[in-house]
Amino acid sequence: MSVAGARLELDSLTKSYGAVPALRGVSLSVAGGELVAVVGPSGCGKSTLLSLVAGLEAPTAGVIRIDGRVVNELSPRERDVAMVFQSYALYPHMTVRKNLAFPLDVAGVPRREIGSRVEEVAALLGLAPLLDRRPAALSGGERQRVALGRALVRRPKVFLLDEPLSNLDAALRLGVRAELKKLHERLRATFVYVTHDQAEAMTLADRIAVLRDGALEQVGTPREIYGEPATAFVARFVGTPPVNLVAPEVLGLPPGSADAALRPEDLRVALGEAGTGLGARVWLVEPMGSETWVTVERAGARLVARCDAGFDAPPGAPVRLAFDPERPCWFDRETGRRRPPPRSPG
Amino acid sequence: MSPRAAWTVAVPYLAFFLLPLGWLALTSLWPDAELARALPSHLTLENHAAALAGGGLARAVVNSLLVSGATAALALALAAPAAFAIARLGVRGGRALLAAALAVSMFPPIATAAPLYVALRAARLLDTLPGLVLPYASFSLPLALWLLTGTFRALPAELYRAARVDGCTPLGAFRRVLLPVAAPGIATAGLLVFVFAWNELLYAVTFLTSPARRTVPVALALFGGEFRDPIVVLAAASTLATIPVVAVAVLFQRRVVSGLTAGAVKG
Repeated sequence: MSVAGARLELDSLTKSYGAVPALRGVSLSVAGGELVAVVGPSGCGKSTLLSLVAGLEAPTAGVIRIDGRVVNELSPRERDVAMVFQSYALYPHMTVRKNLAFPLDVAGVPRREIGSRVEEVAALLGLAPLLDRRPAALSGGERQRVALGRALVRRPKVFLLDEPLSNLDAALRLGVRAELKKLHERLRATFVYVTHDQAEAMTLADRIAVLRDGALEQVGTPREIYGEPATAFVARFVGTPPVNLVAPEVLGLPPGSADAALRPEDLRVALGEAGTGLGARVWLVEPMGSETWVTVERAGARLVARCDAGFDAPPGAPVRLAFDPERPCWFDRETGRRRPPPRSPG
Repeated sequence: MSPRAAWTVAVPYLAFFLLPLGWLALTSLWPDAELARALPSHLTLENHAAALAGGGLARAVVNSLLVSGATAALALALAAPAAFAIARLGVRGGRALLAAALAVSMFPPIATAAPLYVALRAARLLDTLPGLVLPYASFSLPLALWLLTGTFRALPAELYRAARVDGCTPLGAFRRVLLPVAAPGIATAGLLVFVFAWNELLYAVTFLTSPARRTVPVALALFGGEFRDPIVVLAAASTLATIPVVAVAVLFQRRVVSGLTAGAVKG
């Protein structure tokens, strides 16, 4: 089974509810077959974005194109996009088979073809044994697969996924996340994947679009977003534990109008008072198994470092900090925009 | 609450509602000649046979079933799409419409009986069953509209959105997804409208003149005029007339209960 992924273009898309802007001039281009994750905190407009693309709501301004065709005025049915909802939104009065068949049934596909396509999708997602059950008799993971199947069965031009993993428990989420990635590799369909979970976006997406207060902060590959964040907001949003965003003095650098952002893996912590580096004290030690997160206090600020699994020290223990001076990213304290590093004295 | 405590609450509560009915049923089984005694020496079905004699009561039950069924069907057919539009389509003035419906339902029926009489006469619907169904349906419409708006609001919004993305028109999503999912709430509204129509006396006695078109409340109200000392027979007639509506309620009970509780929890 394969789906021809369509190109999706959003041009200056704006949506307001009364005087409240939900999206403010979002321009985004998704190539055919690409998986773009739209991330941001709740209320940033990412679900509104999906509703606009699906045709469930009309934009206040801006243009939506699918394969070059303007679809603003088209109904959801004419746009040929499928959507997986956060709550799955399975039809409770229908069996799994009927749920999967529903979009084809509505479209008037001949009965025999509906049967074969439902079987095909059921086989792909391992739903064959569940076809005659009702959604109420399914586990969370199974419901999620049915929701996915109901989208897949249509072979739509664009798939829209609205937080599809957020209702699964943590253990299941990793498995389904991996399945989704393999599925996308196999289908090469166009996916727009909305999530508030930056780890999901990092692992799944070809590119990530970071949305904040209805406007795009940055669009880039996961590596770009992580390594070259355009704003302090993006730097803080991705990465676990979060980036250390501090005044330069905390890192022993000359003061200025920009803050420095240093990833926890770029900060080295050595026990003991003696030696080179910046003096600090241990505040919290969190063993993660494969590594240990160490929070230290220095100059009234807290910094997190990812250390070896064997690191151990009581709170208050003196440590020395070191880092490569090339590593921090610099952000203007007023605008939050990325800046070139200040010239080091001498 | 322990089972014992539950029973101490439930028994008086049930007794309050069931004792009058039980007394009615017992009276209907009481031999006519023994009315003066504290308790009957035996029970009899003669009164029921007497109540059914002549076919007037059976006729009234059939009329009432027709009128109440048609009223419920008409009220639901009008209220369900309207409630869906108010709850899901963001219709302008939806709240005002609900408020207006509530206000209209506050009219005392007696105030409208005379104008309705004139209107029905003009429409040549006096003394016909459809002539009852129309005012009944319009009077029960506010109740149905309120109940069903609540029902549709309680359904997850994503269900409607999913149906739309899956290719349904708004009306298609209503018909194929929301209506079946809302079935418990619709059954509840339908049952309440049915019972309202079943019990209505004022319009029925005003608009119907032919004995053959009487509904159950009219037939029972006029029973006394036709029988000698009919207390036990009247009790038998009342008991018999209650059976169909109880049967309808029991038939819908499971759906109604789940409808009431679904609304209560998600409300």
